Amino acid sequence: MTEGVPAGLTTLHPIDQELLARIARRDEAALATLYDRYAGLLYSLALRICGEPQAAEEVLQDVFLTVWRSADRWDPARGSVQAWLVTITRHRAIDHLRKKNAEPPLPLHNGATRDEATPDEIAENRELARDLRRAIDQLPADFRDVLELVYFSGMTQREAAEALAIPYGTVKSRIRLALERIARFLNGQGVDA
Amino acid sequence: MSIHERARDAWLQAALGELPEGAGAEYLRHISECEACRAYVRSIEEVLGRLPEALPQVKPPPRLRERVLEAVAAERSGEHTERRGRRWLPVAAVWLAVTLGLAWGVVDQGRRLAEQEAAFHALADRYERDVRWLRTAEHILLGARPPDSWAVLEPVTPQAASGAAGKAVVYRAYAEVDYLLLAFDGWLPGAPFDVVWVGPEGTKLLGSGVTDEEGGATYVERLPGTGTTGEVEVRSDGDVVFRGKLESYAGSP
Repeated sequence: MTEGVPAGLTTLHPIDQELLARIARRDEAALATLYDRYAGLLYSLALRICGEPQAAEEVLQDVFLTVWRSADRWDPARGSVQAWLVTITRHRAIDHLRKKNAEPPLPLHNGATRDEATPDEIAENRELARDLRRAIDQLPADFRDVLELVYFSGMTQREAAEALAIPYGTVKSRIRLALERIARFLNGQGVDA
Repeated sequence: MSIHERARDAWLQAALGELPEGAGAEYLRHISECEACRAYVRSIEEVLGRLPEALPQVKPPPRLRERVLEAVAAERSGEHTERRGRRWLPVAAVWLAVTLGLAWGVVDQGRRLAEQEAAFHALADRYERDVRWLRTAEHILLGARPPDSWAVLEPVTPQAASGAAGKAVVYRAYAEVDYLLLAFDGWLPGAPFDVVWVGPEGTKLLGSGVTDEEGGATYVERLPGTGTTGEVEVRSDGDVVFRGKLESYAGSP
């Protein structure tokens, strides 16, 4: 049975919404600001999945061109700008990985802050990143392994099942439970609630 | 397993970049109609969006920012040129009318000016219709009038088993002005795609987009003088995702 997940996690930043609206009106300065806010985060993810800086750069350029072309299609009702950007980046990076067969990625590590953020945002981001790492750390080790391979290394769930020598169904349920537990943890209910 | 669980499972597969098994499109449609499932999806989507914060943050090289902004500026300049061209179309018509009017004035100025004024209005009206076509394109897809050619967009392996489906049509608005409209669903959500026209003159990239949360998209583009028949492909990172051969409508459904 699926564990319940609270719906209050969503973090919509008004600045991001305003930037997307301006980009939709063809404001290049707004795109530059969005780049400054998210390039570090998205580049880190692309680099992690692709394993090589040149590929990560191509992915990032693709992502921001996609944002430029599609900003008018982003709907705030569907989630945060960050979630949208990360989804595009991850899909682009995985496409790249599956084509190029890149080197294995870097290990998970601490320390996320967005560039060009205000001091308050930096403090808030640090705290959120700390919470996130705590949520990941408190997962059972076998959940973390699956999350690592599937989300951060871009493996398919079948590839992860093969790598870990466990059934495909187990990989699917572990990744789902891991994400649900992180969602609950970030809502202050504790990872095992 | 309940419909909610199956739908959430299908959504998560797609969100992780994998093709949902079985009737993926049907499950994704359930999510769009079920409030509890939508809340679940939003919640997990936010976690997926925040997970990169747990990675070591690596600054991209400074030249990349420059490259990205240059690429955007180049695209913007192309948009400008196109828009400027369209904006000046009625003005050019007036200029043409006045020039011709002066040349013919000595013969039958009154009659010619009236004809030229009519020609100008026809041109301006055509321009307006052009804009209206773009704005109402989605309604046309719903069948308000028959197209000139049409195609079923066949999902190309491995999407074939996922329930993904699509349709493309071409409408001739008036002489030499054709519009391609296409819609598909059941593919990956949030996936960037390119629309490519394969005609007798070769392959041409028409434009790009990103799928919605149900893995679907609608798309409209003016065809660059290619006619109403040919092949259209939806590609993602160079791979063909959907392909359809546009054939004369001739009363087909």
